[in-house]
Amino acid sequence: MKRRGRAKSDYSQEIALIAGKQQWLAWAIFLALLMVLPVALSKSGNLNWLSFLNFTLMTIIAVLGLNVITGMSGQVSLGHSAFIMVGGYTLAILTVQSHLPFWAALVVAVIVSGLVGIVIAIPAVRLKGFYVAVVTLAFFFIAQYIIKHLDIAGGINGLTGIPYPTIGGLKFNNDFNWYYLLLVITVLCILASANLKRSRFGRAFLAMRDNPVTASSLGINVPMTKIRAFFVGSLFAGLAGGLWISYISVIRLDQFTIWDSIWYVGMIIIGGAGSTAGTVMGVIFLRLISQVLHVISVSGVIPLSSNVSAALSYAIFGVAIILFVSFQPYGLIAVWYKIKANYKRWPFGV
Amino acid sequence: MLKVDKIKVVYSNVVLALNEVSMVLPEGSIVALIGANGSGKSSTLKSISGVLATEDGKVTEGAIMLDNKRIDRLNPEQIAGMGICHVLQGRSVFAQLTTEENLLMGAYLRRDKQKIKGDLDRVYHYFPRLETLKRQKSGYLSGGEQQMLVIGRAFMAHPKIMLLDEPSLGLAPKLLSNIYEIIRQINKEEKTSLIIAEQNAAAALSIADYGYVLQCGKLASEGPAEVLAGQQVLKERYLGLNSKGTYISRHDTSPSASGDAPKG
Repeated sequence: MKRRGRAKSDYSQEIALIAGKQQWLAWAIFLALLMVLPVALSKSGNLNWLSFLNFTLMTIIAVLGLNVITGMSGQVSLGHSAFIMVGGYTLAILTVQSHLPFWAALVVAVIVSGLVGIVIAIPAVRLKGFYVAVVTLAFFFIAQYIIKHLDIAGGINGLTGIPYPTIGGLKFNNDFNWYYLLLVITVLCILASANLKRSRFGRAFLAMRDNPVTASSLGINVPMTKIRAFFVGSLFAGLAGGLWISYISVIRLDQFTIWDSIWYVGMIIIGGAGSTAGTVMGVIFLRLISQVLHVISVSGVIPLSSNVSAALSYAIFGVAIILFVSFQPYGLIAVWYKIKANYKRWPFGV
Repeated sequence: MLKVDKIKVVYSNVVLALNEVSMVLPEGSIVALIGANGSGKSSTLKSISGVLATEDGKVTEGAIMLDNKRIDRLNPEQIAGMGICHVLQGRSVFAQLTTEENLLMGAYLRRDKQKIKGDLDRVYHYFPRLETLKRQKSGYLSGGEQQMLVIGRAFMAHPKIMLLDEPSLGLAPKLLSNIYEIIRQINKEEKTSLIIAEQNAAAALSIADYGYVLQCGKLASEGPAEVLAGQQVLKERYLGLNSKGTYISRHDTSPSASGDAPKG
């Protein structure tokens, strides 16, 4: 019988992100497929799917940040779209009002979002569980209020004409080019997120979540670790916000809703809280559901108005959360592990 | 040297847990802290390690001194940084981390990467079982394995002082003597001072140099371990032995003593 799976003889193999040549090959093929995906899609003349992919990639970046805060550190944040909003508005103001080059503005946007994360964390670290969620929820409305009354942010009308990024002569002004830019950034973000768990810095998040008292008795500064988690998580959100705003080139307050924050939390629950791969799966899963509904309503196979399909996606979102919490509480990532384990042991065991 | 000087501990400003408790832990020694449920053993350890604050407790009177520095107003992480490692009661592993990652968390405050690797091997030498389980999520380990893990994790911190809260809790007798043997080894080889809070007085006194007996938040008795182990009161109340040295049934304890009788 052919041996499946991989015997590990060293801890460095155990914690390696990519285990062995076969996995390198598998990842290379997977990435290559992702690279040719837009070519295949544009041949079929359906740019709608390309923009879906781009939004999904940006959502992955944002939700990876929420995964650090909520999944890894256990601080339920309902204000994640506010961090994205801060990143987006910082980029918009810096590029439109101060005419800063895109990349410089993006760096500033990421940092500003991270700093705002620290400010929010300071009241949140004194609280536990539900109350942290309430603080972050309040932060969302406060941030919205401040931006609404900020002249420089264009008030309720927002800002338009946000520039697209360029690298050398390459302009990222269409879905096709954007896809490759976002793919590179997303892969880098996934690597960063996966690496967190392998470091002392990131393990402190998990230790604090599992057992804060023990963590403090081992020398982990629990409040400081929570602040760090909010900082790191907001960095991701700021990056996603800056990219998103440049991608659609306009920014308005009503683009950032409390529903987005809740969808992000749902993506983490469905994917598997605390897991980088699970987060990616959760984002893709929920984005696909709403996209499929959208496609159905557009195609007219089943007579669904766009209003109904939007409402239906909320309903399905709710049902999916309930089903996952009751039947698969560890999320899609646990399903994946089960498949992997069964594959290794096949044909024995279940 | 750690000195606890007449401390009074109050939870939530109303519950008096300890009153005028004093104890001394000389360098390199093992001190046993024995008493029944609710006698204040855990509270004593928590006030030393500072985690009392996380449970809304406070040292309202007295002082705790580590090498002539007052530590009872410090945060747990500061106290941990001074070389005191508290192994909390009830196998407080980080359930989602693997065994090895748990051990590495013990070395959180250390920067000497090479030595950490060496210490990891030491832990596996003390507890060979842990090495075979190093990639398992610690939440799936058995009770005894988790107890080994938390002691190993404390060892990884290389503390001057280790505070062990009920290492015997729920362990089979054979495993218990095994763990106590390792505790003795750690004390001998690493010169780690230990305070062991135990309901299982016989086990704790067998390796301790000195013992303190707590009763309802007060010191009831103290003395060298051999002397304490020989005392009749202690034998009856905590060891469950009668004057002839045979075990007595819990049903035989008089109503007045039943409140202090060992449970479990």
